Amino acid sequence: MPNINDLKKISDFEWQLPSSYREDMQIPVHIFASKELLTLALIDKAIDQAINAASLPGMLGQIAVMPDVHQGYGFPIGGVGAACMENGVISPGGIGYDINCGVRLLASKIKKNHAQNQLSSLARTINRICPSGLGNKQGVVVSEFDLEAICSLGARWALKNGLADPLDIDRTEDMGFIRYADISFVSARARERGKSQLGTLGSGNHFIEVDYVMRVFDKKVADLMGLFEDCLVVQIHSGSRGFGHQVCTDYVRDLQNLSQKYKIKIPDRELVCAPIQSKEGQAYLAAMRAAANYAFVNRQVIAQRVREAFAEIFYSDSDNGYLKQVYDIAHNIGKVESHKIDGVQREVCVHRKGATRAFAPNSPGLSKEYQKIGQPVLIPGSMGTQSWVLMGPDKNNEIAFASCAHGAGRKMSRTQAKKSIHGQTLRNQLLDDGIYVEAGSLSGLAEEAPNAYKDVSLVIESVVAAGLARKVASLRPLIVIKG
Amino acid sequence: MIDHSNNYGYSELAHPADVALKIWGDCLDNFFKAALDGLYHLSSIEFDKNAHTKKTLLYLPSEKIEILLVDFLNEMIFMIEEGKAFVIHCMTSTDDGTRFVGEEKSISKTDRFVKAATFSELEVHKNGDHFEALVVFDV
Repeated sequence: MPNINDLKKISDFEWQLPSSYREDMQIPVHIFASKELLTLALIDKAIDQAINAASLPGMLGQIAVMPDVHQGYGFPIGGVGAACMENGVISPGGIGYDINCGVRLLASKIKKNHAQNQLSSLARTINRICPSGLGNKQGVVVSEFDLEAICSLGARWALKNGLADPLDIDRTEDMGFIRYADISFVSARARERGKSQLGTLGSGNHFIEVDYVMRVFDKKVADLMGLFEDCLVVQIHSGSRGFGHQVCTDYVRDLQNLSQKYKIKIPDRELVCAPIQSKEGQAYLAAMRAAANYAFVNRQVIAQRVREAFAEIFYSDSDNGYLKQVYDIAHNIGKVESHKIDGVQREVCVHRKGATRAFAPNSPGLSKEYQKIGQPVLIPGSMGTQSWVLMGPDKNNEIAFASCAHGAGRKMSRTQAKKSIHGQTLRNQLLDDGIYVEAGSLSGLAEEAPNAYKDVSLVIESVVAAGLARKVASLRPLIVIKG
Repeated sequence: MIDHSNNYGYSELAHPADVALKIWGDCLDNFFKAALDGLYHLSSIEFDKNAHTKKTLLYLPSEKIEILLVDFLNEMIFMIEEGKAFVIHCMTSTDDGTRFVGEEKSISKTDRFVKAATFSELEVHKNGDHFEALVVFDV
């Protein structure tokens, strides 16, 4: 396990572990963090996992580590790696089980003060309309035919079926659609799970939050995004549900015996991988893209349900109550992108696990309006604390492969959180702070307590100082719905 | 048959983001029984006492023990999602694969959703007939 003396300080917010640190490292590890966050990152095995990722064949440049990094499995959560398209590998453990887990932000023009008396009923209504919890089967049940269309069309399937408006599509990463998805590479079990879980939130750290815009830092950009001080907004954090979990499970398993075939040495079984250009690599890519498209539709359907809840509660102010999409962003995904690496423009497969894309203005895949200002970046805090809306930097940060942090990052284990925090007490404390909580499980709520996470403001400080993104607005929660 | 003495068990270990179990057993049957008990503990499941049980056979192809363990746990995770749980009566291994014979029971409550059993840092240590492993679960 490395310590701070093994790292070269590049600046107050950037550190590098050279590839000479361990024999099998092909590239260095570059950490974006203040000294305080770096110290936290060195407590668990997160940096060891980044070192493992740096040993994979065909990884280019460096493994970038975000300020909210913590130990996961395979790659660390908050790890970004770019694999060469010609001779690099794709690793399901570098993307995660919840493929295209991500965050969507919707904004209304309802002022917090006008909604104060309706917050409790709004919380109950959202909780009633939006299914959550274990393997929930109250989702939109879709046929095999529809599932195929969802996986190939992504969010455009929702638009065709009256479950989205055109702006939703424009304001979703890659327009809610990743090319070359192919459901024929997805197992029958994954399809079965996918058919009954569309539009469900799930459990764990997934949530729906109603927040208000606490402070605007860049009024011009916030206006364009539709964010106004004191107005209600909604964050949705969910992913590809059992469909994506099964895709990852299937491929992590199927690739277990492949290392010998391709003579790839892996330091951790969860980092199993296949050459991108191999038939196995292409099969996983096609299945992973199908799950990514499913996740875009899942969040879209949840968004429609939250809109229904808003319409029910704010029926007398339907214009201001309409939830206009700000952005939808993925933070567990592998994407083919072009980046300047060591001075050369290269096509790479960027693995982002617990990290978001953060494109500068004029980058490909952004809608016309966001081409002008850059891509919105959404960083939820822990419930009870602030969340942040940022935007991509003026110029892509190529050391990070144009990526950014995705949250506060855990600092306390779930086991420890459950032991030290009582779910009902936490719920009461949050209510005292004016935050209504609806939770499927009180012990699950305790695991997700604000104290279990790092201070998100420290993450934002590092993100901004390191030039990964710029501040637009901060949000504060009023309602938290947990599965 | 499973040895219902205390010669197998599990303990929940702290993991920064997910959850982990240390499992052990004095024979392969008990090792898998411990893994299953541990998974049910993590999921906080409650069996539906009034529901009928059904005899069930689960067959998994022959693989290295680590793969067999993860396959087995992921099968069980899927069953939990379907509102069912499996109770092992016995298991037999041949060159082709492993058969788990047991009962399927309905679940009345599950408090935590486990997404998957992972291969992260997974190694099954065998010392004589004693098996031990650490399994990280994605939640």
